[in-house]
Amino acid sequence: VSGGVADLKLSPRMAQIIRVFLEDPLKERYGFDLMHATGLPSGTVYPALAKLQAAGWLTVGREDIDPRVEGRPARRFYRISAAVVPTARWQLAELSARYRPPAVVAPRLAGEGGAL
Amino acid sequence: VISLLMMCPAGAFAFVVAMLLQAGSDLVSEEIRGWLEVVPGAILRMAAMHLPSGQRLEIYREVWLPDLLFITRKAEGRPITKFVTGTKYSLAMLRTARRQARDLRRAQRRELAVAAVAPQPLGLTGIQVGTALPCADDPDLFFAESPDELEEAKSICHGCPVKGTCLAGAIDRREPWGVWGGQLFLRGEPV
Repeated sequence: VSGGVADLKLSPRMAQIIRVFLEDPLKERYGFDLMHATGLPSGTVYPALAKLQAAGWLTVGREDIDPRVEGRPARRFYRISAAVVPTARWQLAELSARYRPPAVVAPRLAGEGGAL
Repeated sequence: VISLLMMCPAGAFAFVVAMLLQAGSDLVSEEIRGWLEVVPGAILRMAAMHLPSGQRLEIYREVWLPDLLFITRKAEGRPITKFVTGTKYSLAMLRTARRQARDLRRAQRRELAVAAVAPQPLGLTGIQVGTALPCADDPDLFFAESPDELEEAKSICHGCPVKGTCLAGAIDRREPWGVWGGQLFLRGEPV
C-alpha cells in the first residue's frame, strides 16, 4: 500500500525494458525506441511502462519539438528515476542469476563410482 | 446485409473498409493523412475504443498517435516498411487493448482506494487523510470474472466509510465495469 519504489518486483519483460534505461540512465527513451531495442510489441511495452511509471521508476516528459516544423505531434518520453537505479541494477542481477543455466556437470563414465 | 455480403466480395471489402474508417470517429483527427496512415490509424482508433472513456482521448492523442506518426513520418525505411511497421504497431495495440484497459481500471481503483480522503468536502468526519480503504488490498477482486468473487467484492464495500461517495463517483464517470461503492457496474450503469 505504501507504493514505495522498492515495492515493485520486476517481471522479466519489465526487466528487458529497464535494462535499456540502465545503458544510459540520463537518456530519454521513447516508446518506439524501446520496442525496437527490446523486440517487444507495442501492446507489451506500454502496459509495462505504465506500471513502471505508476511505481515511480520512470518519469515522463514531452519531446521538445515544434510539431509544425517536424510535421508530427510531440511524443511522450520516459526517463529512469535516479533514485531507482541501484534497486534496478540489483533486481536485474538477481533475475539474471535466477535464469542462468546451472553449471554443466561432467558426464559420468560408465562404471565410474560403481553406483549404477 | 449478410447475404448481400456473401454474394459480393468486393462489397464485403468495401464494407469492412467503411467500418474501419468509422471506428472511433470521435478520435479522428486531421493529423492522419496519406495511404501510409489511414489503415494503421483506423486500427489504432479501434484499439482506443476499448480504453476507459475518461482516459481514452488523452492516451490516444498524447501517447499512441504521436508514436504511430513518428513511425510513419520519421522512422527510417521505405514507405512500405513504414506502412508494415505502423500496421504491426497498431495491430499489437488492438490485440492487447482489452488487457491494457483492464490494467488502467485496476490502477485507477488502486489510486482511489488509497486516495487522500478529504473529510470536509465529502462530509466524512473521523477519516484520516490518506486512509487506505478496504478495497486497497486486492483491487483485482473488484474486476473479477466469477459471480462469487464479485459478491465477495461487494461485501468488502459494505461498511466502507466512502461507499456512497465511491458509488456516486462511479455513476458520474459512467464506470464501464467492476464493483464500485458496493454495486456491480456494466457499461456505465449499476446492475
